[in-house]
Amino acid sequence: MSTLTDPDLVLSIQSGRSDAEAALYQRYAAKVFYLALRESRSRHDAEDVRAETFLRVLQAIRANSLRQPEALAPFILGTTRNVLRELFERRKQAQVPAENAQEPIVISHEDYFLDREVRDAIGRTIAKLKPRDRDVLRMHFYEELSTEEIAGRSGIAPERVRLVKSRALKRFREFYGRLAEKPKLPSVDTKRREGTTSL
Amino acid sequence: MMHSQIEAEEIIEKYVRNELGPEERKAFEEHFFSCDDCFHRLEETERFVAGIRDAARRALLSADETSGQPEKHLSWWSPAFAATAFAALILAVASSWLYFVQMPKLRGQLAELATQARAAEQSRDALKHQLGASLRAEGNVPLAMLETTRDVQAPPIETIVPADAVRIILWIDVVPGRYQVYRLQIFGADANPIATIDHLRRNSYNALAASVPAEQLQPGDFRIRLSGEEPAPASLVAEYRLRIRRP
Repeated sequence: MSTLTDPDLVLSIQSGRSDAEAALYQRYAAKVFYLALRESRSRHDAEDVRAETFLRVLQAIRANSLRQPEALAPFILGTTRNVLRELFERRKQAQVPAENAQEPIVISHEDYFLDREVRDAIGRTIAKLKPRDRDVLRMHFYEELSTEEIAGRSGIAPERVRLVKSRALKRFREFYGRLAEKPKLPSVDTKRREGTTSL
Repeated sequence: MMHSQIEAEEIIEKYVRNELGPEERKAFEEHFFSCDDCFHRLEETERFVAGIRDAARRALLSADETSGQPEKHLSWWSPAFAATAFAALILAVASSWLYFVQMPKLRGQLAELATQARAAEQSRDALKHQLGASLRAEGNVPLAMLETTRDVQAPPIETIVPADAVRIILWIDVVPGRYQVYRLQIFGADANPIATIDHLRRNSYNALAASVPAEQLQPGDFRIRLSGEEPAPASLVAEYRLRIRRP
């Protein structure tokens, strides 16, 4: 079922196959959750957005409201954005900022990606770097300096800054890939959580 | 949005860092919703950036005072300087040890050896002088062959003694008899005793050889008496007449 194209998935759902709905969820849940988390900065709200988005998408597919099945991905994205917009309007009306929303609250969506494996892989990556390359990464990702600003301050070419970043990222991928292979780490919350809205 | 554009313009990193404009951000979101590969790379980049920022907060990406300064050569300069400094330190320690410890010790040994060498040289010169004198005396030693005669009118045996002679050898052929040890007495012309030589024994030529200082035998006539001493009793064996002349 996972190998079906989006139009085939739409047809399968319209024909009443529940495994096709599960496959649809498996294919897009992580993306919806990521975007919702990034925008709402609240894990709880992101889970709600994900549930509401899939509810609306499935209802639309079942009701044959999806005019272009090959445009399923843009349709899901659009639906996610609509749900998020409604969330922000509710927050605005209730004047409840994300920081005061129900737990769990994340200050930044990137905290969601920070776990033990990431810290371990980053530590191994840093250990392989020269001090100057560590400075480059710190200035770029922590001090928020641009490539050109780093090049000017460090006296190195902008191409060198890009090379340092790409090499460090490549090393991180390798280390993280090895760590993630041991117990297979789930991607961004692709599983349904108990207590969330059922589809 | 094309993959080449995403790669060349670092779209994923810019999206993570919120550096894209509204249109670019919307376009990229539409792309990764349809592209599993780009979404996977987006997740990796999110983890990487989150990890790097976390490491910076925990001072794992240590910022030292030189971080904002150009440091093109620091990577090789530091170990090169350390190696040079270490070599210089070793050289300084070795030089100090040689100069303050070994050199005085060697100077003392050298002075001692020089003193010994001077003493040996002086000793050698003295020996050389003595040897030279001895060799010169041996080379020029005059020999007086003493012989007995029944003719009382016969002239005495003449021996020409060089002016620089140190000793004179008196050579007497002796017929083997009962005596093994002899005495030789030298008298001047006025019968005054000049020298006595005891404990003479025959040599391999059955002769007696007595060495007498040349200064005791000045030019003139001498009477020499040879007597047997051992085994006793002693008795006169022969008398000789000797005349010393200068050349």
